[in-house]
Amino acid sequence: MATKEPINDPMLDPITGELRVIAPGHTFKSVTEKLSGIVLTSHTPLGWWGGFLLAGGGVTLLTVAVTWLFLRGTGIWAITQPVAWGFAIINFVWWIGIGHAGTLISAILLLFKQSWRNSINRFAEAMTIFAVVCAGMFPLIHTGRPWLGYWLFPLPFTMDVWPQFRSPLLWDVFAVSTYATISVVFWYIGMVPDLATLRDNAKSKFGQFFYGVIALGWRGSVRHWVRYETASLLLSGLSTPLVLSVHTVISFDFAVALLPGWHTTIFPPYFVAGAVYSGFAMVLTLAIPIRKFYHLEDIVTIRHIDNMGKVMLVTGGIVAYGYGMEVFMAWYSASHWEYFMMWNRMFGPMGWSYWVLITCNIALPQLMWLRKFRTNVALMFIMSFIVNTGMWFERFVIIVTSLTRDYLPSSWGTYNATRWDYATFIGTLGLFTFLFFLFIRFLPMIPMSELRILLPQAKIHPKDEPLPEAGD
Amino acid sequence: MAQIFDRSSNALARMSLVLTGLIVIALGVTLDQLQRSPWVTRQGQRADQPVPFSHKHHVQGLGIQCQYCHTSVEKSSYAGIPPTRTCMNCHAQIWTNAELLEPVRNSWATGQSIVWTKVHDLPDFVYFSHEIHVNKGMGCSTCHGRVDEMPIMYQQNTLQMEWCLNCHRHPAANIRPTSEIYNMAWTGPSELKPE
Repeated sequence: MATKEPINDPMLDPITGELRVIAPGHTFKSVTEKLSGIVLTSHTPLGWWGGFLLAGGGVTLLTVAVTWLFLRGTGIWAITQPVAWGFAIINFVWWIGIGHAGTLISAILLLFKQSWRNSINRFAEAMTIFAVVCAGMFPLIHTGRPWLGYWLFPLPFTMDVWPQFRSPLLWDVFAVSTYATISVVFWYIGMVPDLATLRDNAKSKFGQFFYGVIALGWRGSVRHWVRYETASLLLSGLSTPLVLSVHTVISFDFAVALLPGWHTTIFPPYFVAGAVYSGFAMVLTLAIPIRKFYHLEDIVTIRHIDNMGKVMLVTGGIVAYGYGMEVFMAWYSASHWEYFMMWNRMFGPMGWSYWVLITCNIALPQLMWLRKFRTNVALMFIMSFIVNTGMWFERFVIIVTSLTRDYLPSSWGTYNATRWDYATFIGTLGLFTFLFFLFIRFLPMIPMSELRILLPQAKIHPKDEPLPEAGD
Repeated sequence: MAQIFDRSSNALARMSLVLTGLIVIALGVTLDQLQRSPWVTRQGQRADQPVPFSHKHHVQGLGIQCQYCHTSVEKSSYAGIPPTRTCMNCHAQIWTNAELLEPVRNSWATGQSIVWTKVHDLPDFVYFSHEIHVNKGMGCSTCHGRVDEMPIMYQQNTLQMEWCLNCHRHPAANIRPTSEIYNMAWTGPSELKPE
């Protein structure tokens, strides 16, 4: 709906009427000063300390929970027969899923030349890495004998025994470790020009030295930039299939099994879509308070929140299709077990979790069709929590309700999480936040070099044309 | 403004690459040593025994055959450590005053077993059987080394799984005629070890 009235909102482009990627009025210098100021200031905001200490409490809780786990064994969790996979695997899949949006933003959107990614890609990548750190813990600690975890690696041990390469749990090891490595490399390479900016703007000797070492002598020559761009593009090209395959491998943990509710061919794409869905929700959860706290509304704009809402709407739609297909197939398969599995999911003793999932993942997010809703920051913040809750319950429903009641009624059981299950989960939330707070304090959370490219000054114009005012 | 890093940093930066390579190598060597060095496998280590029993003296010196003491080696999974009674067969009358043999006489008098230290100590999840090996042509010296030349018993081989598997995958190299099982010096010909 195009209105003929002149547009007064500075966030709207007067020519196209679209939302701007970044607000007008920024120069190379203002961008640099604003963003490097967050890191280089000697005055750490009180709010940062508050959050950091709170997150530190979470890390302490995690340490206690894991120490107790190692001392007493996995029996302190609620897992038993028949539900031998509980919170640990739910949280693992949930955290890995959250990580995926970071790679989507930094890699896939780069391949599609989406310039709006530039404002958010750095902390989305950081989110990926910290989410993978939290996720990567679970496959190790959920084993009964975590000190033998190294047996999962194909190394020449004196036993002459090698891992079983047919198990998706082994593929997990390779998928997650490759994913973590590539994410860190991609994140770091992208950060090098910004680290050089910090080095050049640092006032303290230590700051100059610290950022100087990790900036690896970046001088920003044309050769540097050509290779940097090529490397970024190559890494994006590599990360894109990686991100799809990693969550596919994680979905294989279930899809390869014979359990009704798990043995489904739709899992790989539907898990990936769910991962991107929850990942974008987490980006919003992080971006909205950060832009408020650090006054970055002109850099992480309404346009970003609007676009992320659209991506969530699309991936949420794919996920909804996945749920629909599961229900349809349960009926269409004419399999008694599949039929019962679906009935049990909806109306069994844990049916409430299925309806929480449908409400949070399908029903409420339909509000995001409205542009008014997507451009309302507070509502989008709430929505991001709703979607993350829903996606947690998706894994809960898939894992727990399928396991509680399967083929043999004599092996039916239930699952009641213990305080240690909750402590571990809350602990990883703390660890994630802890690492994220360190990141926003010490590293450039928004790529200055990529923002400068978005400014109108960065574009080459014919001499007689006036400089466009807008930044997009 | 002065440069942050002076010229010597160039050398340090290059060195750091070399250092990374060296660290990786050192890590590899350490990990290998942590599972294969004799310090870990206990090869060649002479454990403290209550009586310094010498196989060299009893086998090489006196010509006693292995099964005289290790009686159950052909019939049982466990080769057996001789009871005090076996020692006293001779030592009731030989070296009756030797201080070295005091624990043996004491055990005989009190009925308390001598607490020998096990040198070849497999973990309990391994179910090894002596009987099948001895009856299928594995000689003592193949696994235990030249025990007749050991004044104090020690472990000759690693007893690690890769060592077991090496032989189970290629047994021919170590098989000998069953008449030669207890011949400690046997190095006979085989298909893989031609004369």
